[in-house]
Amino acid sequence: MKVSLNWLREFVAVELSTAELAERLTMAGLEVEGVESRGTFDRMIAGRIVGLERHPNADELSVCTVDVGAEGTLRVVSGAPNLDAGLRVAVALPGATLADGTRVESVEIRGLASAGVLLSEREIGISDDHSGVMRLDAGAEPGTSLAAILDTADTVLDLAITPNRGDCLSILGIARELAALTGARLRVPAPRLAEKAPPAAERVRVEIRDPDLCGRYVARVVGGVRVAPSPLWLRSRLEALGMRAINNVVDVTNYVMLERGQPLHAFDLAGIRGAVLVVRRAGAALRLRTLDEIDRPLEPDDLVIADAEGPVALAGVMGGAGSAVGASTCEVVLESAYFTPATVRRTSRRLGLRSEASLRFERGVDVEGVPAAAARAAELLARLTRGQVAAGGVEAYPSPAAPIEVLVRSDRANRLLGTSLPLAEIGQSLRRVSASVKATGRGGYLCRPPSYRSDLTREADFIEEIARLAGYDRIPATLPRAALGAAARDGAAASLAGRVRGLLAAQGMNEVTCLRFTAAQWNRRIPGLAPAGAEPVRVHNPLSSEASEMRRSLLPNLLAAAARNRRQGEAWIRLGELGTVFWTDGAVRERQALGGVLLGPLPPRGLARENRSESFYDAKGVVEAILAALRIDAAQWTRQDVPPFLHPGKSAWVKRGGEVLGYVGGLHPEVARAADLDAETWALELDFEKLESYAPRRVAFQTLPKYPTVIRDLAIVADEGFEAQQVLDAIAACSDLPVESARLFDLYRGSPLPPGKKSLAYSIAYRAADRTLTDEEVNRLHRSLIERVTRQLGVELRG
Amino acid sequence: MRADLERIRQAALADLERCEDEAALDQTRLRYLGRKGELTAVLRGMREVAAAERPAMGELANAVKTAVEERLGALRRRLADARQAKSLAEERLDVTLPGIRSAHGHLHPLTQVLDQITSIFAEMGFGVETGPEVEDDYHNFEALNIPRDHPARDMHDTFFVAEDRVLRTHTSPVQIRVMESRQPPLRVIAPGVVYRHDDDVTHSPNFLQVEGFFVDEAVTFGDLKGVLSEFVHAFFGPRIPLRFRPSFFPFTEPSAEVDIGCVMCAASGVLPDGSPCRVCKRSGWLEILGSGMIDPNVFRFVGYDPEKFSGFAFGLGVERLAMLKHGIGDIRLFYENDLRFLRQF
Repeated sequence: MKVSLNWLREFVAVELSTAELAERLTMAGLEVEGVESRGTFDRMIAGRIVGLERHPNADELSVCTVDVGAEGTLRVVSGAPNLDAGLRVAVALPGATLADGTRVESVEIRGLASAGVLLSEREIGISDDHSGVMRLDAGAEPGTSLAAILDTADTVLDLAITPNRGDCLSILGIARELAALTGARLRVPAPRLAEKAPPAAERVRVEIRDPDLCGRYVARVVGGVRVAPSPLWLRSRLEALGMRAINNVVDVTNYVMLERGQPLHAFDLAGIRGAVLVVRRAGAALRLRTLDEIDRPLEPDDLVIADAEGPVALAGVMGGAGSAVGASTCEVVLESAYFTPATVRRTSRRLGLRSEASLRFERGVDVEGVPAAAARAAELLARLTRGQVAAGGVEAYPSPAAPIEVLVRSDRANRLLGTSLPLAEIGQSLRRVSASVKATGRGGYLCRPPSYRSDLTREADFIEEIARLAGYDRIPATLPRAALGAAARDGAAASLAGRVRGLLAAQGMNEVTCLRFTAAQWNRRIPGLAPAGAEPVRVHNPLSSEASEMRRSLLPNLLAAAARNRRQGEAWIRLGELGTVFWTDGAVRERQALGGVLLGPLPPRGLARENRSESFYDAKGVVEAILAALRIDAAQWTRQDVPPFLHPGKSAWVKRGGEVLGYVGGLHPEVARAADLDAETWALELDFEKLESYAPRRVAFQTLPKYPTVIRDLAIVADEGFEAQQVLDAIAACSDLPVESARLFDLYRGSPLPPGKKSLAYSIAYRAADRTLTDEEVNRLHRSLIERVTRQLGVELRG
Repeated sequence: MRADLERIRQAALADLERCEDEAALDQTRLRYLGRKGELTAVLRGMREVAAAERPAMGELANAVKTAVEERLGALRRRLADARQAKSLAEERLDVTLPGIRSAHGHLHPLTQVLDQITSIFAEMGFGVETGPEVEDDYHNFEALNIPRDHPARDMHDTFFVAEDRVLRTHTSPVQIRVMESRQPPLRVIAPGVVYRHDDDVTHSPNFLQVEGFFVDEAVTFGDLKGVLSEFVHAFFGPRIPLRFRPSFFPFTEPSAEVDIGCVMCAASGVLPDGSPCRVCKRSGWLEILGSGMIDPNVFRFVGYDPEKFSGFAFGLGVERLAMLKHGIGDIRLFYENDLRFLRQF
């Protein structure tokens, strides 16, 4: 909401400087977002033409000698057609800036120096008139600033008005607020009308048929209207507040809206069939051609103004074309009404027709201010168009609002605010914002809110006013005394997530945060860990088709981030994310997942180069490190039925006890291509919530072993397709042997092994809990183990 | 014999002094103390010494042996010291060559800033709670005193995923969910991802918010000021100016925005080079969080007696704080995940 200080001063004395005023309003909840000086017309002054000659080198130009007061006379070359000796004109001196942004300088025009510009109204910026220089009154003293002569210098504040303060969307509203804040007196002059017969009620009838959507409706009739441009003062006020001037009738309705906060509509009475205005639901009416000449579809519940034959306006949103005010209009019906906020909001949003008027109706206008706004508009219209105001308003007000009273307890206010404001101050604050206040004794006040403050209905609302008027600065900051306890319920999960993030970083994974939207095709391509049959969650109003669904998997956006970095020239990329994925199986499911992507040549460690790129085993290593740190053991890795977006031979499910924890693997070449990534890109995704449930909450200490281990090796030769885990599983199956641990330590292919064969070497640690195992004993145990493993698996012992 | 011993002592000591390396020392030792050495030979002749003199002679022979061994040991140590000193003087590494380390990853700046926010409130006794990102209309709006067709819904450009289901527009629904399931006293923060239908330099369609609330008997607006001042000073430093400014949120009353002195222009509105500060639009102040006393209507929705309990709530945008803390001008950098950006944190 823009506020002209000149306009504001018509209602309330402003004793503060602009900076103080801005601070005061801001600290009362009306945030000042900008301050603009208008109409100062720097270096534009009045001058008098004392000499006028034709330019020696150009017939269409004149050379004027201009008296500019204290600075003497200037020679100015001008092309204006309406120059006369003795004429008082507006002159721009060098350094001035014209309305179109041109800077005035001393220049030479066709061989003669010109020390300024004689100004048209358009060059000054007060109208579109560029037919000649602006003629000033004979009293305009040369040298006087143009701003002083035109009385245009003004300051405009730009205020952010919160949705609860619809009453502040007007000059009058801000004036009231300022009066409450400073104690200054508010002056609201009553409209002065010269009403003439016949009574308005004989020209038009008004009926409210749906009083739930329209509380009050007032029509005023002004006849003998001549539609024309508005005078300068009106136009410049509208423009100062950000509205465009159109014609005197429309401008008056806008002027009163800005002044009083009450949107008005002007009908051409000639366009109202049957001379009747009925406020009702659209019902069966299907369309209305609005004054912008567009056919608008109507819904049965839209509130319309109808005449005898059908809708002529969408209430509070836009007028109809058939009754629009135009050049031929001579009798105008002014509408001032209270429409229910929700109905205007619904219709204007549906049609995308949000305006200054709909904004005010949505916030709720002052139902008691409806007749005064109509009268004010009639007054102005009569003044500007020399029209006659028909006697009286035509009003429908089926059920006048019953005034409410709210009990405000001063001790409650002080208790809630943590203040000890004196009773007298609380009483005074309440009086400043209320229509009436009655003290009930014991610190209680019965407050009746003014009709324009629909936001004041409860004690809490008035307590906020007490705090606001006192100033938040005066409320002492205190630290509460509170009982210890009420520990975080989600603390364990939060700290586990923190640990996992740290683990990822320790593995060289850079944490990313991706947007949670994705394209439908990516959700289809990569369902991630969503169960079979789980559908994506679709966004009904997406920002773009690339973000039309919630991601089912972390992977698509991780791949996009990797590709982005790849294009950026990054060779080695390791990205990880812990975040939410979504799907629906009837009900919407949200799940925390952990994802990662790895690709590119490994970086050197110091001067040591590892001449290889990221591999399946690097990705697997990241997962193993996380599982190990969370002490989740017994994970199984299987290539069976890996998801189709992964490489079928270079990918695995990670399972535990048959349940899927996640996957690790190379991208399927087609997915890699679609993602604009190398074929050798490795992905992983884990169900974080399963990790959480499997990670033991408590570590059970194991007594330290008293006796040493004895190590023996086992090397076998097997076919290429043989999986190393099989040996470890077979060893684990020998549960009667005192095997403490077994691990693979070597994989060998090549001479002297025949092609298609490989050798795997395992190191096995034996330990007994109760004694030191002797060499002979271990040899015997190891022979037995070898025998069982090789026989079970059908592999040879390597010689 | 005594003379022999004395001669051996002198000769051996003199020979030792002439030795220049370990090998010479070994040879000298062998010559005198070895099995065929001179001292050994003399000692073999002990049995020819008169019994009465034997103890004295034995003592002398031991003294000679000890003297020679001690000297030998001292010379060995001296040689070893010299050798060590020489090698210490000669062995050199180029300490400017790169160290050998595993590449570590970086935590996202939002994670780091969120951790900091969380731990400041944790120190004040706030526990952490979470809630769903896909919310129903009731928890996201209705129970927060934002009825259908209320203009306050304009403050929330909402993504819809079903008739009654939205991507939550703030973390305030967690406040409702916690209050529905527990009784005061409550001291809770609820960090999480929220969504707004918006995408530009200062808006991301999803972003991080931290909701906080404190409900007990006799919690005051002064307590709100105290706790939030503690937070702002812990996060931005004790000297940062701050102010509480009246505002409006449907779920709090009174409501306050918290502004801090602009960190870009030192709260002056003007940058050091004299140009106007665009971050604070020349006001010298930056809005960093919204807060207020929980509206009695909200308490009624969750079945608390507003005459018995009072409380405050606040919500802050993590990206905004991170941008101010690190001087980041474009919110989208947090979600583009450019490694050149991520590696700076």
